[in-house]
Amino acid sequence: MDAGMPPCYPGDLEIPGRIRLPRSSNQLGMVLDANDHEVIEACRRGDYDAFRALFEAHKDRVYSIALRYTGDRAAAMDIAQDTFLKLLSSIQNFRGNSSFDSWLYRIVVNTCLDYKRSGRRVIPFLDGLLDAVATPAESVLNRLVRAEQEQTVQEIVARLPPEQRIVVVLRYTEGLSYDQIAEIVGCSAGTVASRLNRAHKVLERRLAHLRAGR
Amino acid sequence: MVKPETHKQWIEEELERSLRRVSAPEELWDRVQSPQQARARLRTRFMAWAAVPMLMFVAVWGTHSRNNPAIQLHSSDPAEIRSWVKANTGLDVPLHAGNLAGAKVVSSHTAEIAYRVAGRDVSLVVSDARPSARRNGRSVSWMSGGQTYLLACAEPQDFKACVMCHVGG
Repeated sequence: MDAGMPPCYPGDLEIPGRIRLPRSSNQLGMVLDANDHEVIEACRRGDYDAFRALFEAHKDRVYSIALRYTGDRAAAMDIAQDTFLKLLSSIQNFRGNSSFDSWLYRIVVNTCLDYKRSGRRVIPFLDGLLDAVATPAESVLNRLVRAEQEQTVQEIVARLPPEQRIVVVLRYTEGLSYDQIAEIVGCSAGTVASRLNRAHKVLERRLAHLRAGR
Repeated sequence: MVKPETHKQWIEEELERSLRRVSAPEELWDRVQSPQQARARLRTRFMAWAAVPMLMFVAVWGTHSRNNPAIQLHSSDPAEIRSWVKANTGLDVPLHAGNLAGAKVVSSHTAEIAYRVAGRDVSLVVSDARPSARRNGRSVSWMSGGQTYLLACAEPQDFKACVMCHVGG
């Protein structure tokens, strides 16, 4: 076994090309570092299982950014699909000069921005409300009120200009720092701060009624 | 000057809560594996799903515009309406008492339950078709027990009250 490989857990699969995959995709986080050079190298060689492992490690992140940017599940699925297809077709070009995370973030951000530019219409669904009523731990009233508030916030965010919206999503969906956002978006940290500040002002004005109810 | 990242304003807390990360649907892997097949399948499914609520929506608003004159069964008894709808469409629709005005058959698999709320007409359209959940300011659709429900209110202010009972079960 290669000394650089992570430890093998009971039930893992030994995949040709030195990639180990857990039997359950839910266990991936235990054994697979998303930046694992071995996995990326295996993807470059066209290893199907390595790509699946990479997909499992990053699918929620990619889908969430797309969903929060568009406010629409169907559009988010399109964007997430396009992102992984671009990743697959261009992973040969990933040289490791930046982190894999930053590289993937740039792909999904550009796919989001391109998606909007294509002019496809986005129709928000009542997913939050439907999810809320399916959750049994609280009263229906509380769940509906909170889901309605979250829906309102998402709709207002979805109306921000794209350059502000993507910064908001990277900040609050992904929790990235100004410097990290700046690297992904390709601007200075000061510009990120400025865009966030403008977005906050717009959102505070449009969501003032939520503050009154807190 | 970059803003310090320590103090959180209320809007930041609101955004963190509302924009939190979610899980990707299972079918995403299928779409990545077979992108053309998946998109074609989704397009077909979307067109089929989209057609049903659109037809239901037209039916509901057509009814509203005529002040709901076309009720076939006039009753406020939930049990009577439930059995009448089941006999005519095969749909089993559990109903609560209150504000019921009657029902009508829209098609062999679709029924409309009529309510009268504060002097205004409200319609609940039930079908065994399978559209995706959606809403605009005055209507919402959802699925339960293999049936699709579409609720439409003439006035937006009626909407939340209707959703409370119907979506909350």
